[in-house]
Amino acid sequence: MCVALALPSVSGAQTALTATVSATAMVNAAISVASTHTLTFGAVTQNVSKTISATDINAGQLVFSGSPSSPASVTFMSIPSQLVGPGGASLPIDTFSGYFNTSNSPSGGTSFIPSPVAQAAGVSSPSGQLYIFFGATVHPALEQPTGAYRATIVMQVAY
Amino acid sequence: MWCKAAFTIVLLGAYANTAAVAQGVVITPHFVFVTARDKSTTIDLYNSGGETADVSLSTVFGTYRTDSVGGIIVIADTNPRADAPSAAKWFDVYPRHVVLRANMHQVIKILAVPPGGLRDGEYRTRLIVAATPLARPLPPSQNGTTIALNVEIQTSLSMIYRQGPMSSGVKISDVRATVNGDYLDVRMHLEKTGNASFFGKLRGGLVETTGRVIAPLEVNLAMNETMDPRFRLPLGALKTGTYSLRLNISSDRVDIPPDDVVAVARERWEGNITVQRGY
Repeated sequence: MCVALALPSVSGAQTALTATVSATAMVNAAISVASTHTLTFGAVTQNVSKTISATDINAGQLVFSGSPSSPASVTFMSIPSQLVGPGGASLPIDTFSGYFNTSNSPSGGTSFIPSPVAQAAGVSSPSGQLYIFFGATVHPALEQPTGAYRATIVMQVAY
Repeated sequence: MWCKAAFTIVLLGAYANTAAVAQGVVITPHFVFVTARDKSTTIDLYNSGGETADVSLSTVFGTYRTDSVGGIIVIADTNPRADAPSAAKWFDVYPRHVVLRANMHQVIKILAVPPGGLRDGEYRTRLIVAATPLARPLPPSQNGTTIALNVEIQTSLSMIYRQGPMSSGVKISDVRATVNGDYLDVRMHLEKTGNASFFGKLRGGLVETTGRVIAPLEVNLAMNETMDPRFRLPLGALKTGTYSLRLNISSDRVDIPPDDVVAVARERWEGNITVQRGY
C-alpha cells in the first residue's frame, strides 16, 4: 500500500514563500509465527508418566499472524520420540495432541494429532491470527537420571 | 536402592513460563516478487521475541494444492521434474544464516540469477525461514533435573520470478455445498488460467431474496495451479430454506503491492443452495 502525504502550502502577508513537500511510504504486510507459551510439565515423578493435554493451561502455544482471511497450513515437520539427557540418557515423549483455533483458546477449536502431514490445512482467520495449542506425554523411567534433557520439535507454517 | 523423586520438566523454551513471547520472527513482506527487469529485492526479519534466535534461510520448490477434503496446503518438492517452473536453485539469498537478538532487524538480500536462455514465464520457489531459540545451558531445577524441548519454527512463503508478459485468471465450476453442523462447507473447482499465479480474493456468501448477504465468505487466495478448495461459512441461526450462493473472484489484494498482482477478469458464479438444518 502506498501512502502519499502532501503538506499545505505556506503563505502570508509578509512572505512570498511557498513550500510543498511530498513524502511516500510503502507499507508492506508481514507474517510471523511466535511461541507464546511453553509446554510445561512441572514436577514429574520417576516411573510415573505425565500428560499435558493440548487444552491444559500448561500446553504449548504458538500463534501465527498474517493478513486477515488468508489461508495458512500448519505442519509439525519433525516430532521427537526421545529427549536426550546426561550421558546420552533418553526420556521418552509421545502422544502429542493439538488444537488450532482462530481465537486464543483451544475451546471451540479443531483437534488434531501433530504429525508430518498438514493439519491445519487452509485455515483462514478473519483476524489473520491462528492459534495452535499442543501437549504430549513424557515417560520417566524408574531410574531416570537427573540432569538436562533436550530435543527439538519442528513446526512449519506455509502461507 | 532407587526411590521415586520428583523433578521438574519444562518443555519448549525452558525459561519462559509466562505468556510473554519467547520466540518469534516477523517477516516482511509476506510474498516476494522479482521480475526480469529488477532481479533483486530484500526482505526484513525482525526478532519480536524475548530470546536470541538462530535463523537460517533456504529455498525449495513448492506448489499450492488442495488435500482430499479441500484444505489448501503447500507441497514441497526437493527434486522437481526438469520441466517444473522451479527457481529454487537460482535464487540467491544472503545471508542464509543469522543470529538475531531480541528486537533486532536483519535485511536479507534476494537476487534472482536465472539460467541463460530462460523462456518467458513465471518461476517460483518457497523461501523457508527457520528460527530456533539460541541454545544455552540449562540451569538445574531444585532437585537437579531440567528438560527443554526447543521448537524450530519454519515459515514458508512464496517467492516468484516473472519474465515476459504475464496473464492470470480463475474460472469457477462444480460448486458443491454441504451442511456440516453449524457450517456450510462449500467446495468448488477453481481452474487457473494464464501463465502467472493467481493472487486475489474470493468473495460471496449466501444471499436472501432481498439481496442481503446472510452468511458471508471472504478469503484471500493464492493459486499456482488449478485447485479444488473447500471453504466454510458459519450458518449461525440460518433457517432451513433455499438461498442463493454467490461467488466472486477478483484480484483485489490490499496486502500485496498492485504492481505485483497480475490483474484478472472478474469471475462470478451464482446458484441456489438448499440448506437443511437439523435442530
